[in-house]
Amino acid sequence: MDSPATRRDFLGLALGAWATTAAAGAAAAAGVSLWPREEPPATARVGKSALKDGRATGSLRGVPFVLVAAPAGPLALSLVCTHARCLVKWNEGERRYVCPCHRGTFDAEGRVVSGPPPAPLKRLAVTDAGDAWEVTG
Amino acid sequence: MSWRGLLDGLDVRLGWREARARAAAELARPQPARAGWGVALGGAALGVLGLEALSGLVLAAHYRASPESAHASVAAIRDTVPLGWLWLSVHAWGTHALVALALLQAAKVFISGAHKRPRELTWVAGALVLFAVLGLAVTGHLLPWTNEAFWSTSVRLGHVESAPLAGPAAARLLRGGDDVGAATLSRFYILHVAVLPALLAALLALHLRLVRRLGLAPGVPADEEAARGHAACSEGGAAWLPQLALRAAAGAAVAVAALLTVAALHPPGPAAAAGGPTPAGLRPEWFFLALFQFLKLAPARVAGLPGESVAQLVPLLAVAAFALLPFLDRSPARRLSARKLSLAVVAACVFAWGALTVLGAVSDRELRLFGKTRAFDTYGRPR
Amino acid sequence: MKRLLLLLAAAAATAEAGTCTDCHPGVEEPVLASAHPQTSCTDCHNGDDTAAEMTDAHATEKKFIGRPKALEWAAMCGDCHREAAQAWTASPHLDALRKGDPAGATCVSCHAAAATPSGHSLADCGDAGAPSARLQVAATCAKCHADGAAMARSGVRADAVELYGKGPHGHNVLEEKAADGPSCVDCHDAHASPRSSDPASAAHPSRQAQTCGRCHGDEKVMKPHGLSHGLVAKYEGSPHARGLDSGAPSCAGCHGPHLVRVPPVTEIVAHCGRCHEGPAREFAAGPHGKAVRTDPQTGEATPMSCEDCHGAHGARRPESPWAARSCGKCHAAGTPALADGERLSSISADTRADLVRLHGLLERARARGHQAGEGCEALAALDGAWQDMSALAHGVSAEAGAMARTAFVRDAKAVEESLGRLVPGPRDLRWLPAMWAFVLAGVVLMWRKSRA
Repeated sequence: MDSPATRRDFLGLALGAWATTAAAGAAAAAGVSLWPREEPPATARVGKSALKDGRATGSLRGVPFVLVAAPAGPLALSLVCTHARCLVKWNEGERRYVCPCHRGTFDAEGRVVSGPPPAPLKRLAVTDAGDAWEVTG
Repeated sequence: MSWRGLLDGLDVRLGWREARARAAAELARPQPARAGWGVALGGAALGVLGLEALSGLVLAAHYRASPESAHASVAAIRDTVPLGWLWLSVHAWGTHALVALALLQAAKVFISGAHKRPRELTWVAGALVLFAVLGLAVTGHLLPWTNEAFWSTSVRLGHVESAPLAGPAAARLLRGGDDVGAATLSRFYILHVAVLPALLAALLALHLRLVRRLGLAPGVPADEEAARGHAACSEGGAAWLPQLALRAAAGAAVAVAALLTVAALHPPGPAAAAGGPTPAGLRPEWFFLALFQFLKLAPARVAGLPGESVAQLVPLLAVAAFALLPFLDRSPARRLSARKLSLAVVAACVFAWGALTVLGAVSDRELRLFGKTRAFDTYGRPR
Repeated sequence: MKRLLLLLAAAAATAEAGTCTDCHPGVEEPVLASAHPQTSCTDCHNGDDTAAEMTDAHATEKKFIGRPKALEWAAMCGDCHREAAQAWTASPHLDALRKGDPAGATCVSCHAAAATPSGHSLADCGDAGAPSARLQVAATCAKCHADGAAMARSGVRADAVELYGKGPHGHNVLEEKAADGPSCVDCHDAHASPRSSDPASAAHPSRQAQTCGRCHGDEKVMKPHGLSHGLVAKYEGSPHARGLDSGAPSCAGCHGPHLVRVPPVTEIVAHCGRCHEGPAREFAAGPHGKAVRTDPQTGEATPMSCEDCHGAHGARRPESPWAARSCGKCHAAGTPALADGERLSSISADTRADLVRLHGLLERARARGHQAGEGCEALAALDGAWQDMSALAHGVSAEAGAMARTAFVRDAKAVEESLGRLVPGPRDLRWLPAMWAFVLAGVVLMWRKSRA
């Protein structure tokens, strides 16, 4: 510590650490403010009378889903393709959900049939609320 | 390819080593001995500017520039975004700090005569930086879409409309129509986040490049003649790197801390959204009060011409004179005692500006001064 | 005696004047007996009553008009009776006349006896025989207002006078000839006669309390009839009086405008249920809907009705805690029924307090510039839930109330969290000293380094 060279080195190191801390603090503060808030689960109601041919669409936070009244119970699927987040479309003739972007196809239960999607369509929880179905996700 | 090879390859193409060497040489040049902690002032302004940029970035990520959502998005930044209130407050207070620091810098430069040959362009670039900051203040003021901001913008663009010659066209272009509305908000937003920051960055780069190239001005030399010309930098003082840069950084650190403190202690509260009637007692920021008060004095017509347009010639000429001061104040003398005339003229201007500012601040107000309530009329006269 | 002298003087004037009675016998007497005995023929008919020949007397250059037309009466009478004529010019009667409907009443329709050519027997309403006298008004109005065809042309009901006659007001006036019963013109101004949908009408819902209150708020008038004089004031303090703009009932809303009867207790639940659908439904389905009270003295059995807890004119929510005050009227302390009432009462009080707090929070968020769409929607849903809960309370099931309250509390918590985020509390500033310490340490380092 006594030699001037050592002290300069120490001062330089300390200043470097100080500047890094300051920059990290600023970046952390900005990051905290920029990080999106976790969205609480939303619920959408689909009136049972709104079902056409046993199907109805709705949306949760602006993202569409389909509700299918199957004999085994209602099934709600997010229409967002698991590959690149395009919206899949139901093709009644093929009985498949088809993604218009990269030709991913899913069967009526949302399982991948062909194409690049890595996972089945997301299933949303459905509860019976009397004259309507409540879809949560 | 090795790391070294990569850098060599880049150097062949970009020539960065030569540029760095030149910059290092310029920055290692000893500056005049009198250059002490004065650079901290410029450093402070730079620090505040950096904080403005960072806070502006955070705010822009949450802000929505439309009349329907602008006010609510600012309310959301203030109340729901983590630390949003602090960024908002820092960004608003930073304007005042920047203008104040720039004016202090101008005063310091003028008193020391540092604007004189060969550093005229340094002054001009600095003045233009200040104008860009004022432009940012005006455009940023509208963005929260509060009733007060809506109407003060409406008034400001009304003054632009009365400006001689290009006034009506400029006002229409800025407003995007005949009245302040959605188009004005979009235009002010793009001016505030893209056009003016780019302009400011370019002007600041020029200003700093000139400071680096021409060095700091020498103090008042024993021999005035010796101070002329490029080679006149009296040697023997500290160099930019590392000494002066560290002092500037210290100034920046203190300024940022002070700004954060003021911003944290006085955060902005809620304000009514645009859409209401013109509020009473509309008044601009302190740095525009003199202009506000001066334009009140304009009669409706002067010699058959619109009075406001004629009156605006005075501040327009004053602004031009400020920006071009080094070309008006041409004597090489730096010692204050040898610059009596220019000092007197500038002092008179500063006094007029200060007096108008005070009159503007008290006009149409009732204030408790020296234990007595006094009312002032529109012209700032006690009633 | 005085009247006789007047008559003589008038007779002298007419005789002198002349010759009209030569051809028009029998018109002189009604005029002399009327409220205007000194009027000469030319005052109303123009022409020349001094002319010797009929053609001269009826000459058009003398502006002879013959029988005044319906619209000419108001101009003529209005020379002196300015206010009345002015009021009439704004009346629906004039509108009808302008549309060419002969049923539109003009001055003489009500002020002249029908026996003589109309207008000759103009009578003051103080004159008991006059068509505009209080006891005669109903009959006078009925000349047109009971005429279905005439009323249909103007879109006015034709049963008003009939209903009035059947009700206590009509009974007092027409049968008892009582001095204090209201006639048509007490509620429907005699000359302006505005429709009751006109806010200027004393019969307009917004003015009914004031109009009825003139008698029903006056102890001196009500006492002889054995009626309370405090009911109008009670009504004026009620939510109904405050909610008139949104269709809440005024006096006539429950009592009817012309029949003015006290609704029988068996009809009350159905009547209130026209607006208060849920409460009436739950009440009817619950134990109170089937409950019957027997008067210990008379043995008379009456069903329960809305009035038992809410009062009739005050129409208030029972004040919390209402168990002892309302339930205690019939249920003894310590009984399970009263305990249920206490539970429902506290559920109601807690829920209302929650809503007041949440609405306050929403207001504060709004004042801070937040649109608070989500919270606002969720709060509207809670308001709806509260409506359902208060309807449910009329079925007086404490279990159902407790279940609804549990669901309400869960949703209210979510709303409070979402709105609370928009109204932050005081900011944490404990980082400020630490920041200054850090900055000052940095400045010291820079200073040392710049000197090194």
